Amino acid sequence: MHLSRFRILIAAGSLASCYAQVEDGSVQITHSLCSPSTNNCIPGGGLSLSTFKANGNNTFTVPVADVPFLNGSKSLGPATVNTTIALNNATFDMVPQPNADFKGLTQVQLLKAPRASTGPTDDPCAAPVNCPVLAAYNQATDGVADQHIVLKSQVSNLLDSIDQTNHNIIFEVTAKGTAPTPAFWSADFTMDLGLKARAGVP
Amino acid sequence: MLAFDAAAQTAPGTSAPETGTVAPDTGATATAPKKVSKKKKTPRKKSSQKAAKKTSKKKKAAHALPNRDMDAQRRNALESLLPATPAAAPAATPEPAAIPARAGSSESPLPADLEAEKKIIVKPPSEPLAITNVVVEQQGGAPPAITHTPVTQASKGHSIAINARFVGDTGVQAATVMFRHAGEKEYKALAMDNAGGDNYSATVPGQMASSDIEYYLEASDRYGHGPSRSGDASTPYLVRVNAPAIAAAMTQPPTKPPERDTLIGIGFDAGAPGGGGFTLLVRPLWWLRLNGGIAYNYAGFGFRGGLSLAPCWCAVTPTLNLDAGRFLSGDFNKFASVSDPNARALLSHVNYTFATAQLGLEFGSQRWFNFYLRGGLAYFESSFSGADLTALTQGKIASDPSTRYKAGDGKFTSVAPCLSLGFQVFVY
Repeated sequence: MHLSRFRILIAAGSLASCYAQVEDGSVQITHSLCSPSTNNCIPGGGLSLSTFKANGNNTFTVPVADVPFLNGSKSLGPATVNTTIALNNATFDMVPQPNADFKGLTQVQLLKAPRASTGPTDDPCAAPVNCPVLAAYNQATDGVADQHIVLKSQVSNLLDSIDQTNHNIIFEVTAKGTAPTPAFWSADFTMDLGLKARAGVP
Repeated sequence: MLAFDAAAQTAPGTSAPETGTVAPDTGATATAPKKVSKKKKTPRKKSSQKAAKKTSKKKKAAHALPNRDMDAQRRNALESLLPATPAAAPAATPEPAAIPARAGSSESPLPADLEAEKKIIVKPPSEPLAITNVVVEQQGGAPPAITHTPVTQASKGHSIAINARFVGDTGVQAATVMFRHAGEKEYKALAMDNAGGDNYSATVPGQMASSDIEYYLEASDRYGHGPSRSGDASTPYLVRVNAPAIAAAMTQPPTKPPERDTLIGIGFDAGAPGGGGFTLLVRPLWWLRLNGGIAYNYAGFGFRGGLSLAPCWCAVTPTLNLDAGRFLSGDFNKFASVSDPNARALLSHVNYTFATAQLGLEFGSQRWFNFYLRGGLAYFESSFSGADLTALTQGKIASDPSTRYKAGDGKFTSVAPCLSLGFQVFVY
């Protein structure tokens, strides 16, 4: 191999291997479905469930904040930045009160809604095609939940679900089974995210 | 040893060679002039008898023959060869049988011209007599044994010296380097000169050192035994001809390390993004240096260590350098103007670990002082406190009290080009 070619390979290999990467394997964003969190705003009473109607709406909004490189793949000088936000899992933690648990729920799905609901009868996810499933719980496979229910991730990158303008995600939760026993109940919703931003050359 | 007598003289130009090749006597005489050949086969005794007959046969003719022009030199030569007994003596021998008719008698012999008879009986050789000693030797021995250390590397455009030792009881003749450029079919011959004793050498000219060269050696003894070879046409030695810089690094053994190596030194360097440092140098082997010391990157201090490989002690020495270290908590707000207090808090105590692999050139003496320039790649790894990240992120959503953040420890990694320059002083 000619020396000049060898030098070019070395130089190219060096540049190709250059990168900078920031990662955080676990960033948890916790959102109270009822605000303030001490309020109970979701109808229960052991009735059949279709959606979690918090504060009378079928959807709720979670701010994700303007984290660096949130815009995904973009050029930054000679470098290209690629960002991924993985949804490790989503959980609901019942705000404690007597007989409040998720034992009656057989299936729960976390959907990404295209817009916020305007009232109890406005369901942006009436047409399922508009609302991809982000995470899901199935009692048959995941076991009976008590006051803590874990929804397994169904997506690899949550980045596309984040509004690039206001950095919010709008969720809707559909469920099957019977609602918790209290007439109204509340829960804290938590997303566990894995964030990685990598700038590579070129 | 055979000694040819005067009659068996060797014909001109057929003398036996110095190499000792046998020259048979019959062969030598066969090429002699005819007259001489006849004479030499005639024993001297017969020659005397014949001379006596001729004397009586030519008594009368002796006077009738015209005088020949014989020079005095030949005459003297003949006189010295003839025995003291007169050639006419046999003629005086009495006849045993009936007395034949005769001219003259014992009482009144006829006069004889002895000098004239001498002229007739012996004719001197046309060429001067020469006695040649021929040494007969038996051919023996074997081709010389060759001891050779193959040349494997050469510098482009520089002559290539090829040395070998040829040892044989029967001498060495035609010691030759057969060489060609790799890929060529034909070999060129290059005679090897005796360099003293059994050592021979040859030099392939620099202009031939334009690409890789293949060669082998061969030699015979003085009797033609052989040739013996080191390498051969089908499996020659290969000389890699490199660009001068590489060849220098590969073939020059280390400029002879000094008689007494310096072992300990100090070094100063500065670079980006690694910062600078002050290190203690230790050289356990002449080609290996270890270093360790403190590092400073403007944000804070750290420590580091590493090793350098210097394959030669040249005026310009290439090196391979591997280092690693860790910078302790440093304030990176010096490098960035950040107004967010949470971000400033995050940057106020950054620590990171690094490792670098660099190639360098060192100029100067490896023994005492040199300065260098290095370049390569650096790997950085830094961690960020989860509490700091939580505060940073939470601060961005302070307007929504229903949402809380909790971040685990973050990690920053990077591979980036790095450069450094510095100098080293060996003091002991």
